[in-house]
Formats: sequence, C-alpha cells, structure tokens
Amino acid sequence: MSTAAPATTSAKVNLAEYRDVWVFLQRSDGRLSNDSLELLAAGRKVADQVGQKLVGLLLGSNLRGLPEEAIDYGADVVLAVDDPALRTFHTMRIIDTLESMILKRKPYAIIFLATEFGRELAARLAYRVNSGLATDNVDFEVQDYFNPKFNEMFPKTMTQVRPDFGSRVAKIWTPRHRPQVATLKPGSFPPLQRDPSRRARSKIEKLPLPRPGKSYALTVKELVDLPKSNVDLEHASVVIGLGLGILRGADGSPRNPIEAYKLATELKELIERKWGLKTEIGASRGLVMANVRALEGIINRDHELGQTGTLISPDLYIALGVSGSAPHRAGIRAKKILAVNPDANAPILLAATYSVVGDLYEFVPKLIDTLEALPDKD
Amino acid sequence: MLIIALVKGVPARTAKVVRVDNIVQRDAMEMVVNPNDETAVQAADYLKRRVGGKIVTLSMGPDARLKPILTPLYGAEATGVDEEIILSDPKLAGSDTVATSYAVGHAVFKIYEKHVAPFDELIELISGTASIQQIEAKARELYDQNMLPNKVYNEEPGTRTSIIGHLVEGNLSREEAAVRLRNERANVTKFVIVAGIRTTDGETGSVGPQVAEVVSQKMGIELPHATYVEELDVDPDSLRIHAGRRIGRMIQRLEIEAPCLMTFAPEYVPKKIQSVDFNRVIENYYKGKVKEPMKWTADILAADPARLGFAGSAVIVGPAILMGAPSGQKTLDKSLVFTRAADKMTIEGKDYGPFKAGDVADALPQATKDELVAKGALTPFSMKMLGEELLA
Ligand SMILES: Cc1cc2nc3c(=O)[nH]c(=O)nc-3n(C[C@H](O)[C@H](O)[C@H](O)COP(=O)(O)OP(=O)(O)OC[C@H]3O[C@@H](n4cnc5c(N)ncnc54)[C@H](O)[C@@H]3O)c2cc1C
Repeated sequence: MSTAAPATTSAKVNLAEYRDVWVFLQRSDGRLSNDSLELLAAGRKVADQVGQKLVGLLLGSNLRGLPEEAIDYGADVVLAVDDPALRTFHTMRIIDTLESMILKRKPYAIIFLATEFGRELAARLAYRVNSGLATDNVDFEVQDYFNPKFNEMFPKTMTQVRPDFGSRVAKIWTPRHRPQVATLKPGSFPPLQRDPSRRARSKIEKLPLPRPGKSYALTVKELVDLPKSNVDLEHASVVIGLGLGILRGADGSPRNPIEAYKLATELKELIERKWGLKTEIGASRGLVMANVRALEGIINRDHELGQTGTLISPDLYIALGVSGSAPHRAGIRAKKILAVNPDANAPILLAATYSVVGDLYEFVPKLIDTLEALPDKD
Repeated sequence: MLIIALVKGVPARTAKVVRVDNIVQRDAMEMVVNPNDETAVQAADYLKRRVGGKIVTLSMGPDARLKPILTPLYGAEATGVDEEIILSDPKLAGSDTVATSYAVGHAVFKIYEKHVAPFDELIELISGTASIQQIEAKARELYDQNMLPNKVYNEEPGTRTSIIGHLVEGNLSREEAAVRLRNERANVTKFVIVAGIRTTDGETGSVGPQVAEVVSQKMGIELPHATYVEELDVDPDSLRIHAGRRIGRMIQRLEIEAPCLMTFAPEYVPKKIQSVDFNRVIENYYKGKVKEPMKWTADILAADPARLGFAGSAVIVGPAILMGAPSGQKTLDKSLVFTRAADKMTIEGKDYGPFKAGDVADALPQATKDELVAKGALTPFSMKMLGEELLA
C-alpha cells in the first residue's frame, strides 16, 4: 500500500514549500528520446519563469550517459535512480519511486510526456500525492493567477494550455495544490541547442531504489520491441493525410488507392526537395482500420492521425479524401490546412485555410505541376 | 467473477458543445455511449463467458439522460450486462478528473461491498443459531436480488447443486458450508474493473488509473492497473489475468492478480473461445438481469463531500479560447481575392479592409464584388495563387 496518507483536499498546502520543476525523461535507443528533449525545453521555460531549477528525472536501468545528456539539453539537476528493477516499465514501481521522491523533495511541478506511459504515470501519481492533473498541454506560462470564485490571488502559478474540442485552446490551473502535475504533447516545443558547457554548473544525484524488495500484484512477463516506425508525424513541417476518399474517384468509381499514395509521395518528395521541409504521409483512422489490401505494408497504425492516433502541429496539413470527423480534427493543429473533397459540406473543408471542392485524383497532379513550375526558392 | 465496467455518456459526434459558466451542459447535447467504453464492455463480456460472473456498469451523469443510452447494453455482445448503476447527483457537477475518480472509485468500492455482504450474512447465519429453513429463505431472497451466484444457491428443480442446496440436503455440514462460502467470497474479492482508454469528449485517459488509486486507498491494498490493453486472457482456475498492451514501440505482457483495473485500446478484439467448462461458467452466473438501471446519489458513497464535484476539483479550467475557422479562408476557383492592395471601404455603414494583394474578398457585398471584378481589382483564387501561397 502506498505510504501516502489518505487524500484530503481540505488540508491547505503550503505552496511556498514546493520548489523546482521536474520533468520525467524517457529514452530511445540508448539516448534521450526526442520527445524528452522537447520536454526539457518546456521545463526550462517554466523553471526560468518561476525562477527555480529544472530537474530531469531518470528512472531506469543502465542509464550511462543519459544524465549528462539531460544536463546538456537544459536540466540544472538530474535525479537518477539506476536499478535493474526499473528495466521493465513497471508502472506501479515507478509510481512508488516518484512518490517517495516527491514526498521528500516537494517539487513545484512535475511534467510528463503525453505518451501512453507518461499519461498513466501522471494520472495515478497526481491522485496519490493529492494534487490535480492537466493533460496534453501544448504550452506553459508562469503567471500570477487570480481566481474570482475564491477571491484569491495565487502568485506564480503554472498556466497549462491544452487543445479543447478541436479548434480551441483552454487554460488550466492547479492553484491550490502542489506539485502541479501535467503532461506535454510531443511536438509542442523545439529542443534546446545541446550545450555541454552546462555540465560545470549542474549536479547529478544518484538515488537508491526505495523499497527494493516490494512485490506487486502485477508482474511484467515480457517486453517485445516493435519494429521502428519509419514515419515521424509529430516532427514533420508538412503532413499529407490520406482518407477513405482515396478508394474512389469523385464520381464514385473505384480507384486503386496505391495511385493516391504515389501522388502523395511525389508531392512529399517535391516539397522536401524544393522547400527543404520535412514532410510525412499520414492517414485517417478510417483508412488505417479499413486494412486495404493494396496498402498492406504501406499504411499502418503508425500513420494514424487524430485523437486516437498521433496529434500533429505542422505548418501545413494537406487532407486528401478525408471527411474531417471531430476526432480527426481534434488531433490536427496545423497553421494551414489544404483540403480536397468533392463534398462541399465535408467538415474538413470548413476547417481548411484552402478548400478545394473536387477530386484529389484530378487536383494533386495539377498541384504538383504548379509547384514544380514555381521559381526555385533562393 | 464480478466485473465492473465504467461507461460514460458523451456528446454524439454531431452534437454542438454547450457551456454555461464554463461547465459543459451535457443536458443540452445529444448523447451516446463513449465508443471506447463499448470496447471495454466487449472485454467484460469475454471475461464473463470464460469464467462466469456478472457485469455491472457504472456511469456518472444525469440519470434521465443516461438511461436510454445504457439500456441497450443489456443486450450487448454475447451475454450483455447484468446491472447498471448511474451515479447521478447535482453535487457531482463540475468534477475534474480527480473529483470524478474520487466519486467513481467510491462507487466501485460500494459495488464490491454490496457483493461480499450477502456472503457475510449467510456465513453469520450458518455460524449462529438460525435454522436451515431460515438460511435457505435468506439465500433465496439474496439470489432473487441477483446477489448470489448459482453455485451458492439456485432453483434448478431436483438438482441440489449449490452450497446451500447441499446444506439443506444434509450433504454438507454447517462448518463445511461456511468454509465453501468463504472461498466463494474470496472470489468476489477478485473483481475486475474495465473501462475505455479515454472518452471522446476530452478526458485523456486519466480516470482509469486514478480510480485504481482511489479503490486502493479505500480497500487498503494496492490495486494494479494496466492501460491501453489490446490482448486479454484469464486463467479460470486462479482468475489470474494475462494482458498485453502497447506502450511506445513496445508490447508489454503482464500477469495481474485481481482485483485490478484495465483500460482497453480500440484495437482490442476478444479472442475466440476454443473450449470452456460450461458447467463451471454457469455455476458462476447469477440469476439474471436487473433491467432497470439503478440511480445512486452521492450520499450512498459515504464520501467526503468536500472532495466531490467542483469543490473537490484541484484543477480550474479557464474560458476556452476560440481558434475558430481560419480567417481568410479561400476556396479554389471560387473565392475572389484582391489583385492589388485596396484601402478601407465603408459600405452601408460597415467597414471592410484595408486589403493586401491576395486577401480574400468573400465577405464583401455581391454588388461591390461585381464592381471590383469589372475593374480587375478582384479575381478568382487560382491554382497558381494557391501554389505560390501554400508553402510561403
Ligand atoms: C472513439 C473514436 C476515436 C476516433 N479517433 C479517430 C482518430 O484519432 N483519427 C481519425 O482520423 N479518426 C478517428 N475516428 C474515426 C472517425 O470518426 C472517422 O470514422 C474517420 O476519421 C473517417 O475517416 P475518413 O475521413 O478517411 O473517411 P470518411 O469519413 O469515409 O471520408 C471520406 C471522404 O473522402 C471524400 N472523397 C471521396 N472521394 C474522394 C476523392 N476522389 N477525392 C477527394 N475526396 C474524396 C468523401 O467526400 C468523404 O468526405 C475515431 C472514431 C471513434 C469512434
């Protein structure tokens, strides 16, 4: 059983006791994951605004090199728990470890990545340490926050900004509780420049695993690595999204969807070559779930865009044959959208910066020709 | 096996979001069962078909609105749900995830308590001075209320296969019957909570893990949870759960001792059941369905009122800021755009502009547009213009 006393919100938290911004870092292939570098950048912003330290948390086994990397990318302090028991992503054990660190050190905020793993850790931990939770944020700001209902000013509170029902953002505060627990949507912050000179001013602390002998009602039997994804939708500047509309021409006649995929690939390569913008091809959930024979091995779950799939925030989203259902749009935060759909009432056309009422099979070749004909940049 | 499925009503995809005082007004919107929770009901159905037991759904929200969408779940999947509980109380309005989990977790605990209580009642009668007839009458009453499985009591004529049946027949002594009831009670303790990974109305998968934490604190144990479950099986003897889930680029396979909580990814599909010991499954079924969803108010929960609803919420949500439909939206070949810059114009008391070359003129009155087209100041938004703007 957890060591936390049964939660009560009635006990007033001494806010000033809580200091430093913690970020929960994860690795990928022996390095910090790209998302974790973004998380360090987000945490750096909060730490600077509140005038406290940024603390990188590394919980795992065989962490060699990772604490230094975290410092290089923005952390002032790294708290590392390096223990074989932490190798298997055992949620309950990691929560126990974090809980004991929080009770001892009282951080101002703790931010996780909004990944499958980060989400569950943040949720359960927030409850265990008697605090609130704000998920899927895209930005943070530290501000004095006045709440008219309590008629109280809460100095230097973390404003958590998250998308809300598609085309809106909401600001969220956890004014009366500490630590403020949040998750950060990957792709929201660019990583900081690597700066090894930071090491001279920083500190790495190694902590032992709390309660090493504890056994759990849940055991990890197996961890199987999945093949590496070759799409990186979160970090693309341009995303081309394919939907079920690629299966038919605008007149309803069947089309081989591989043609649409080839057109999309041609467009992607053109944009990468001519504009140097990282471009990726994604798909609606409808298309991914349809398991279209012709797209086997080409379009899979890694390509899924939207609320259930990958949340993206590119400069440009090109939607081809996508209707733009609410869960699809909820995952798209593009600066500009170009949508092609023969149905003038398709929701995606209403949300688009550039609407094309028409057939993607006619439009995309024309677009490619037009873009090719433009004078080269520079 | 007692299976508790958390089911939420969410606005239908087509519904408009209505808010008053920044609290979402669910009453004003068309509702459906959260699609991810339907996946959880499939998992519950699978568990029930493998090991027997009953499925109780638990929902929170206005009962009048939830009843119509919950009722069809009685016929869902192969076996359907057996009982439905709706936690409905104005005191719960404005709950954040923490306050929601607090209320839902307390209701889960209440359901669990309700299902062990009949065993305690019978064990007490058997250990005391009650006559066999009194014990049998009590068992029948509890069975009729859907609170005891066939294994403890049933009405199969002639076949006295239940624990109480054997006691009545004299095949079991009172002590033996009490021991067997204790074993069955222990099985109810191995309950399973299932839910969807998240709701379609903005909850991002926090309630599941938090409910596991609430129930843990309430029961003084550590109830494990697993999110994003895609593979599920159960060992009918030990009731141990085998679950596989995807986290990042890994499949993590787990063995879990119930009681536990799992949330199911949309990818979850119940396994085909190859062989099953039907007698055992049927022994573990309950009498049948209680078709009328039951309404619970907050005071049933024996919870701290300061932790419910808005008062119990740690998080405060500010007003939503509309990013809205993009301004200056352009439709290919249809929108009219300025060919050159134009000063501000006032037409019938309304101001428009100033405009830059390329700005869209769709908002201008038709007559003005016609005039400007004639002057060559407006032109349809062309493929070439689109190409030039797209990646600029
Ligand atoms: C719980 C839940 C979560 C979900 N999460 C997601 C999610 O994360 N992401 C997601 O995408 N979906 C999600 N969905 C699914 C979503 O509701 C839709 O079913 C799905 O997005 C539809 O995919 P689509 O737009 O490709 O297909 P459709 O809706 O079938 O649209 C196809 C479109 O193509 C157009 N079209 C036809 N021919 C052509 C042509 N020749 N050229 C151009 N256009 C053409 C049609 O007019 C139509 O608008 C979710 C659903 C649920 C229930």
